[in-house]
Amino acid sequence: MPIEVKNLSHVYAQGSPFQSAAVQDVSFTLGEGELVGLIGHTGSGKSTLVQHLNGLVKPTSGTVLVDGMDLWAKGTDLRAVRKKVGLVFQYPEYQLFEETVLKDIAFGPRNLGLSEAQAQERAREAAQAVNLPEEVLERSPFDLSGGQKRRVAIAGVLAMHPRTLILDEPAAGLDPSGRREMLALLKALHGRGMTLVMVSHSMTDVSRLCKRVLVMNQGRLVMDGAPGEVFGRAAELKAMGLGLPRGAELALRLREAGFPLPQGLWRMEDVEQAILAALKGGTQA
Amino acid sequence: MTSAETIIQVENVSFSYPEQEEKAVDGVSMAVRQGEFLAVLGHNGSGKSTLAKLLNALFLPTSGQVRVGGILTSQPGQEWEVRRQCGMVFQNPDNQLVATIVEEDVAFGLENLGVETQEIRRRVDEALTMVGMSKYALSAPHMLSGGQKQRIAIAGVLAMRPRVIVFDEATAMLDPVGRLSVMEVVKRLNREEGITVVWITHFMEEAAQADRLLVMDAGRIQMEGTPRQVFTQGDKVRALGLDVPQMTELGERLRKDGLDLPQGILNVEEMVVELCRLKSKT
Repeated sequence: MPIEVKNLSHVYAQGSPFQSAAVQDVSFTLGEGELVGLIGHTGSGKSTLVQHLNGLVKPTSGTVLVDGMDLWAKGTDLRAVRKKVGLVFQYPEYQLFEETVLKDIAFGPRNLGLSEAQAQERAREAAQAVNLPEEVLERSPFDLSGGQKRRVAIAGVLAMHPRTLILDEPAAGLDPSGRREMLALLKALHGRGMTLVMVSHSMTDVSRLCKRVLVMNQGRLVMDGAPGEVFGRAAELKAMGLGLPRGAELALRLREAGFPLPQGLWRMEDVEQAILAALKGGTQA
Repeated sequence: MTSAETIIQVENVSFSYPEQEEKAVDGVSMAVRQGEFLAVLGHNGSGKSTLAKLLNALFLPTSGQVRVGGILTSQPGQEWEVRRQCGMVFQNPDNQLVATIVEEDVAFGLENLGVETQEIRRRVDEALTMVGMSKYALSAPHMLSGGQKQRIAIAGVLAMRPRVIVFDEATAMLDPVGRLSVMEVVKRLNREEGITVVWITHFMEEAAQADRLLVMDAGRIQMEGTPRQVFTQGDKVRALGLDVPQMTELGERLRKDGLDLPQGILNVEEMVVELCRLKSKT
């Protein structure tokens, strides 16, 4: 298993008047090649949780295992862990700093001790993986569009060759076509065998992409299941300040209005078919 | 349209950034009517934020004219009056707050104008009430959520008693709850206080709530109309790098499937009503 989290808790500012438990007793396992969405309201603990997955923060209690290795056991090389698990922060384009796109992407591999040529080779390959055109590689990252900058930042993490990639709000602030491209990119990376975790506020994005959904609320992992299962628990999600994907919301409202729709619908195509079936059923009745 | 109804008049305006050949705004003419909620859509780089900054004299046109409440924005010495009448709220909540206490932040603009203390007190309290943030008057801005910070930024603008507020992707960095709370406040200000709103966004479902939409591309206005008029032209909207609201798209598909639905369904409520109508007929 790439990542196992066992009874993880994290308390900020322990022992001070500002003490607060950001993550409380969370356990889950991330399987090889999974594509998981992690959702939760602001302050639910999801960002704190993912920062544990490559050892950026140390749990107050509990353990995190990457490929069976306990991150905080004596003798664990955290640098080796960070090569396996890449973390892309929110608005990662704010972290770009180099003179050229290529140099920025090559920064990580260069720090791994690779030669300049090897680092550049990896950078080119990563740039290709995120669909950056060849001609931007020698330009300043600050001259690119918002969506392109974000892809440069992701390429910088991919150039480390992680097997698991965790992205915190990868589509936030992008325009509709930027958002579509980002989701397509994540799908493509997943198709190449990477394990992916996408932290998101967007139920729609998560529902379009992920096969499994984790929901955090007040520091606890409160749901873990297939999208249909999770989005079927509409009342609970709403109580947590989360919305539903539009498809699930429509299905719910139609059921309340007396449409005979099955439970657990969330994909717009499925809702469309169910509506047609319900209306035809009506004709026959 | 008579000039009495027009609060912002943009006439054949172009704007180029230094050292860039392409015009960011290219020969735009449009008017904002008193009291309306106008949304401006466009993909990144379409010129919509540049247009926004031309509306309150942050940028001056390279050619053409912008008038706010009849005042020419390029008239020397008038920029502060233009900005008082036409306030602006930006995207990043963390870049707009300057003071360490919420009410001082809201008072900042008024203090700079030398407004009398009693009057500042009154206007700050009033502005905080209007955005539903009175109980945070003595809080530190950095302890607030993104949506709350944006509401404080709005209060700071409101305290100046503007006639128009331009929101430049003011919800882009917020979570769904924050986005909703800001949208609710702005809709109420528009409806109840008569504040004219120019709402720049790339969330289609926000734009669908406006009275009127402009769609920009390559520095020009490519589409104009009510949300229903614009979003029923799905192919054109998508060709401009945008989307239509999900319910509009589903409506299009259900019509192709043979259901007798009207064009331009914009939200879940409308979709439920229309489908129930169909069901009752079967």
